[in-house]
Amino acid sequence: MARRPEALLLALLLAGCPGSPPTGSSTGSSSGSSAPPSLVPPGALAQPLSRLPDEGPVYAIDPLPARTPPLVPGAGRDALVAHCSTCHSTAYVSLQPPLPEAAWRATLDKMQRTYGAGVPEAAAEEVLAYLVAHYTPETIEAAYAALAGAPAGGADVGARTYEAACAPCHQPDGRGLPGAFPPLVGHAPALAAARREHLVRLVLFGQQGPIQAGGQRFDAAMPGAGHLTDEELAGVLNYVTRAWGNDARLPASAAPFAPEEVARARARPLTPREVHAQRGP
Amino acid sequence: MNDDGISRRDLLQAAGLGAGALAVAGLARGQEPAPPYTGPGPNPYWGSVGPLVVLPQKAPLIQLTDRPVQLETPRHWFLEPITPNAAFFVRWHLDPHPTSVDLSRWRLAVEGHVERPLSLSLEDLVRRDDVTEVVAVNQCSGNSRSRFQPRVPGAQWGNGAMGCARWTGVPLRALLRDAGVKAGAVQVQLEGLDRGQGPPELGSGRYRKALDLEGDALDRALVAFGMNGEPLPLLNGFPARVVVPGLFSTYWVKALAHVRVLDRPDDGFWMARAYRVPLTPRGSTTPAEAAGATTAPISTMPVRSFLVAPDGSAKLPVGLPVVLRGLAFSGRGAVTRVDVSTDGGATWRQARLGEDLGPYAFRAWSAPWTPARPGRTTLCVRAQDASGEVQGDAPVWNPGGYLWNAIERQEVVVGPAS
Ligand code: HEC
Ligand code: HEC
Repeated sequence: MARRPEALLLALLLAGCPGSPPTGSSTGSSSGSSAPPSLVPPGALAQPLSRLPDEGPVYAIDPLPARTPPLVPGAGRDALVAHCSTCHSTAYVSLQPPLPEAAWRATLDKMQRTYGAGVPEAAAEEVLAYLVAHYTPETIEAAYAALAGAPAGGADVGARTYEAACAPCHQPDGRGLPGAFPPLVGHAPALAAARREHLVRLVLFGQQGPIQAGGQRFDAAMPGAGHLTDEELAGVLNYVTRAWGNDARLPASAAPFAPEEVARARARPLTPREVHAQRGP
Repeated sequence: MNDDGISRRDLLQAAGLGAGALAVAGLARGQEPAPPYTGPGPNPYWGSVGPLVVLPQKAPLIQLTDRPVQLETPRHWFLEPITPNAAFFVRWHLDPHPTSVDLSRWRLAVEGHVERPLSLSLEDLVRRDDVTEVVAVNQCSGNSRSRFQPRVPGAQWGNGAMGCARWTGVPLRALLRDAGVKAGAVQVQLEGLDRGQGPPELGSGRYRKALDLEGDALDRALVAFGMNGEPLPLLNGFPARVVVPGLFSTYWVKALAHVRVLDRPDDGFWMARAYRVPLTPRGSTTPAEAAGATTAPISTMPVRSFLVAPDGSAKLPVGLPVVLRGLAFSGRGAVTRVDVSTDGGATWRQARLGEDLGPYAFRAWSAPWTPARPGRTTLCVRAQDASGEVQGDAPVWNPGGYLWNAIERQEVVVGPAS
């Protein structure tokens, strides 16, 4: 053998990749424009900010955004998100045509046997029951009607935004996934107390670099969610700093996040690495 | 029709169109998300039904999955026989796949059963004097999977999991010659920088594909660093990828890091268990017989042709000429003939072939048509290749959703001109 694969891999920096080794930074000037508060023009929604990369040998693009479609509500959905989001997003599930029970059973079996998804028996049964209840030819139309009717994640803009834009990684219960996505329970209010502005920059522009959260180390890339409006991002920050009992950990003096704070930070675009550099240790 | 002349059907269609546009805005915007699926019948659209998204270096493309990324090219990009890099479809299997490559450390290893293992930088590849070019179609094995009946799981591609580019690179055979293939070697295994997360012993977490050392597929294969005269976009395999004209994309390994010569056939997951097709005519079987079918790794692309315009989105006035336009290709010998029908396949006439960019490239075709009668009619297109194969109407079915190549149809409506 000539070379160990690792030698060739050093350069990899990966969106949502737990433990990928760091490479040269992509600092650079930024020339993004500020969006008017609470109204992001559609043309800007999905476009990467224009900025110049550094002049070194690293050729990089920003962490790839998470745009995972919502799953229909129902018992077992959280189990699916928890067990079927590590190797791929749940878009792999929601993009499928409605499949009969036997096909879903075979797919779950394939995930376990050929890809090594270590899903405990009880959870696998829960996932299967959820899929059969909502994603078969007989059930799918009603399931999507319910999804369209129900304000996803409740009426609150923060909860709704969390459900669509954050839960695919940080999980519906905010506990994250060990080794991959940091927990927000406990960690989000701590950040709000000590690094309020960092939280705003984080959700707008993403982050890349090593952090400590909930007693674990993470070194990965989180995509920014700058395509969401100022209200949605302020709402989601209020949600993650207060949900799951986090409100008890939030200092009494902490004011709610306001859309204006998001608008101000949006006017000064950063790369994910710059967000990390400004975060501090 | 209501008073202001807008029918309910128009409103419904507008809503359908709007769904794609709204989806661009992301899902947390309080709008009703369009369902991301079609079925249980065949997908009625030309492409798949996900939202349009913009990722770095890419034009708006249809998202099938966000992690790993799978993007489909919308129909109108196929009006030209060369697909721009920004519009080229994207299909990764494993998350994470590279969003960053350090060229001071990236090296292509040519290794395994060879006399002199090589370790080549991008500059080493670019500076060689045997750099060459080929125009070739890259088509996903599962292109058009959403046509299958019954539907099968997998990425539900419409017709846009394909593209054709001018590829620049070094012949794979030349690299193997430099490394000196040892006696007893049988295959060359290709591996990229993408990394899955399952337990290593299963082999599914490393995307590895193998080509036989014997045979003309390897004669045509390049390690390509140029795509339409430019570097590869990161999502399409920067800094270098394998190009195997005639074969499905599954062998065109992206962000290539290893070329490994093997002294026994690759029995890894992606050759021995995935991307296999029944050894039956057109790779077709039935759900009842699939389990017992003998299978082999998928290989060359059967002949296909596509109607790109008119796309049925507007009525055609009777008596006014239009041009039917599209593309054809085959992995088994150049396209020799394209026929169109404007009466649902009852009668056929020959289309004019466009510029010949090479036997593995898209071949543009066109056929003028002046609709003679108002009403609905179905346009059809079929191609024939140098091997004598002609597209037919019979559907294809296999459990993997591979090898679809039935005749394409497009319903259009002709209206009165006065
Ligand atoms: C250990 C990794 C892993 C886990 C965990 C996992 N999958 Fe997968 N899954 C894969 C891989 C790898 C593929 C193939 C990806 C590709 O080809 O694009 C896949 C593909 C799929 C597909 C597409 C159909 C197919 O057969 O390729 C579906 C549906 C799917 N997974 C559902 C699930 C569900 C439901 C769960 C949770 C029970 C799950 N997956 C958990 C690795 C995993
Ligand atoms: C694609 C997966 C993904 C999505 C979607 C995502 N995150 Fe993250 N998040 C991560 C990763 C990975 C990290 C760790 C980043 C690092 O190592 O610097 C992280 C870190 C965090 C942290 C801790 C940051 C710190 O500096 O300590 C917070 C808080 C957070 N995310 C909130 C959110 C919120 C709110 C959303 C939705 C708007 C969101 N995340 C969406 C993957 C994701």
